[in-house]
Amino acid sequence: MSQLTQQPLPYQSAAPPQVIVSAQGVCRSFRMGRSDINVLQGVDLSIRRGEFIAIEGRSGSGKSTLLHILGALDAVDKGSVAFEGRDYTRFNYTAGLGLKEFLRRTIILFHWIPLLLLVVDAAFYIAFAHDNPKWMKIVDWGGGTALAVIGVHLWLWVLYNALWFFSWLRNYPAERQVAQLRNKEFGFVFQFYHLLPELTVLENTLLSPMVEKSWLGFRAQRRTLVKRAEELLQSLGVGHRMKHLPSELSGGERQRVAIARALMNNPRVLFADEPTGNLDEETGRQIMGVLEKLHREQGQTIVMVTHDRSLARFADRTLILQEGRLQKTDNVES
Amino acid sequence: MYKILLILKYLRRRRIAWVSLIAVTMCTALMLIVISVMGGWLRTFRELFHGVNGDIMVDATSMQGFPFYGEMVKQIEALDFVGPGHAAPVVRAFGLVNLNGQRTQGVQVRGYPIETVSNVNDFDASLYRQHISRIDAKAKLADPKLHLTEQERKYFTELADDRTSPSFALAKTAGIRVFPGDLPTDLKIPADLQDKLIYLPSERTMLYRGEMSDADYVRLMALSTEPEYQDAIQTLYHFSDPRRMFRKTVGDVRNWSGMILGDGVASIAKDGTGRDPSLWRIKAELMVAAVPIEGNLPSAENAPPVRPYWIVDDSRTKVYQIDSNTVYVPFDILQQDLQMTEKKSEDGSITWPARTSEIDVRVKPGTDLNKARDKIAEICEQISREQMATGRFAPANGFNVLTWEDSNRDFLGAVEHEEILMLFLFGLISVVAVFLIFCIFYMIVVEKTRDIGIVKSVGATSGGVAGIFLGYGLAIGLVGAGTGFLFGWLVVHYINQLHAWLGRELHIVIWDPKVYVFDSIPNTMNPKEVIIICSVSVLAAVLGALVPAIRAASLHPVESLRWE
Repeated sequence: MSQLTQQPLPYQSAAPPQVIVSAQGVCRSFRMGRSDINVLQGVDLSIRRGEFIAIEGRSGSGKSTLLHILGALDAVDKGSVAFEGRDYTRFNYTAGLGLKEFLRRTIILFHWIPLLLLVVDAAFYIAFAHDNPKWMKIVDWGGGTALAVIGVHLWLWVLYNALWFFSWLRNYPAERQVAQLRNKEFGFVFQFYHLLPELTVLENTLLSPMVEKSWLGFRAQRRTLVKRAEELLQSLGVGHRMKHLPSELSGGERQRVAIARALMNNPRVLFADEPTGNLDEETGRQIMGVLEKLHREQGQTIVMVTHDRSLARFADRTLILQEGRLQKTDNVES
Repeated sequence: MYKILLILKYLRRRRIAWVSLIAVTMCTALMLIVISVMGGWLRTFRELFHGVNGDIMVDATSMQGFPFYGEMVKQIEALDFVGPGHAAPVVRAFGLVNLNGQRTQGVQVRGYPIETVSNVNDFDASLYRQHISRIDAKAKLADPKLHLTEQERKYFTELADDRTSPSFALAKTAGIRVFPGDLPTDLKIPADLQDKLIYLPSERTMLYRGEMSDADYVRLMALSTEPEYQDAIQTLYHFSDPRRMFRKTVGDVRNWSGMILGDGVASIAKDGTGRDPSLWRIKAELMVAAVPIEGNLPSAENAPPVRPYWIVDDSRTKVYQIDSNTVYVPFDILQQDLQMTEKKSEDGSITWPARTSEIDVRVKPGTDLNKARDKIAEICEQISREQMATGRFAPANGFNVLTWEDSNRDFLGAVEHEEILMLFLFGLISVVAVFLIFCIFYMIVVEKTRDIGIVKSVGATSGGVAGIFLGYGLAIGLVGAGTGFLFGWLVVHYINQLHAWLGRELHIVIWDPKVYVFDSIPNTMNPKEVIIICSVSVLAAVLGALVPAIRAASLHPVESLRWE
């Protein structure tokens, strides 16, 4: 595993704070039909450097949501999450029920009405009004109204898109920061691997540097990057699969590739969302072995979410998420 | 970097995108073909109309014409942008022509001063015998496959070097179509006649140059008893001296003036064998409708005479409307028949000056036509004013000065409108391509929702994700426009071959030369139009990808990762 160690990044050379990610009073609710479901109701958590944390909970307890929030993939309703003291929950993913949302709903609600009106109008014309000048007025009125509604509709749509564009533009600097965080500081391993089906194993592994760098920048460092990706894949035991597509791999192999992708940019924290959830027991153990080795040999900070209590033994600390809060803290010495 | 990689992968792996690629290709090709053919058609139209008219026309407002044209021509020629010989008066009239006593047809008659008319328009190049046959002769001389005989080679060389055109003079050569096998193979033509009796196997024609004397006729007839040969010699004897054709005609028919027929008018005198060289010896009778200067219609006592002409050539300007019903005669004769020459009243107090229907002017290349027109109008009006001020002349009708574009505005405008209409219709069809791209891209975005979540989870911004799909649209636009251009170019370049094939194999004739004026479909592309159309195609593809790209960009990473 020694080949995984790379030159430390500039910010790593300075004395890093003990706590990398800290969450305070994190609340998150989802709207299901007409009622709100409060998934997280004030979660406090500190992730320290070199820790292996397991977050346990039943299905639907909100552990994945917590992981997404910690990993800057989702926003909070209340509370804050900070990376090395910098709050990164400012980026607003949910537009809320602002003008934009109102427009969107209006457009969706009314977009079939003018068409319906036109069809009814045409049917009325064909059936009754075409030889009756008295009724032609109604046809004219119906057609006119339909066209007017279509016109208004079109304008609303244009307005909506313009609003979307401006809010996107306004959010862009914040979004960029969060995107950089995801790219450089965090790595994700998902239950369903989430590899891009069109890319080969090697290309999937190289995804984060490819996202980070421009075409020219990537070309310039291509050799180093490919070498590192190859080393990673070798060390994870999938070195012989580099040219294959994800669809040609077994579940365990895919998860190893996903881990390699997550480690490619040397993340400060590795987030794993049920990494063994989709694997058989033996393969799951192997994957856990890989994560444990990473933690033990390189001091990789890992936050893992699982519903499997037996996996908790790999972690330094196990947190249980119950009723929207972290109920119990277990300290397990590794 | 990931954008380019993903675009390339999607282009290769997503077959559905090829449908939009084909749509862009077809629409680009369609637009290119339409605009090239229609645009080429319009260009050719313009060139031909330009060729028929000259650059600027001083046009009479009435059929009686306008006076003082001699002075006008002189002063116009003195302009620095015209030059000597580049202005010519032309008389126009309506008439009835009768060819060879067989058929009578209503025609437009144009009286050309033959010496200068080829300086102001392309009339010279439209003449079959005097121009086109010379070019044909050159082509035949250059064609090694034809295996010309010694005599043919000599004849074609002489024809190609002839520089006497254009002229209303009667052709010195009579010809008859003969078929292979008609002539005896062992014919021994006397040495002194070898220059006169010419057999052209490549044209299946026998010619006799000059007038065949009775003695020569007897000698030639004695050479062979084969009836086809004797028939041919007899016809040549008959045709070679015009006097023999009309025994009853008083006076020397050789002094009749020449007439040039529009090739549509000429075709009524032809038999099924096509161009018959003997056509140039057909008698035509022309009666023109003169409008006396007093303004009323001609009465019985001053009715215009029926004048006989020799047909000396046929003209093919390629403008069907002109070729089908126009005959050309010498300016002086037509002017005289139209009673447009100078005339004095019986007591000598009033003079009606000589008149013409129009003056055609060709200006030097690069001259601003509108400015030239205004200048010429100024000159002509001044001359008219000055001459009238002398008080010697009766009041006369006026004239307009027009550029060739002004005078054909209605027709050219109609063609231009047609082009715009076609472009609009096909543009509308091409909008379908934008919607097709939109639908396909939307499908791809929906299908790739999870992938969008994945790239966002490794740090792609929404701008980057939008960039993937916009770039994808751009790539499809570029490739589609490229292949569309290629396809369009191939079709346009080989459109005549394609059309010929359609006509031959499937009996579909789309381009009827009668309606569309030209023999061949225009097959050139304008680089400017190509660039515009290809850019619009690329833009349309990007536009079709825009909304799907916005949707992809606005996807929430977690929601898209959970997408089933």
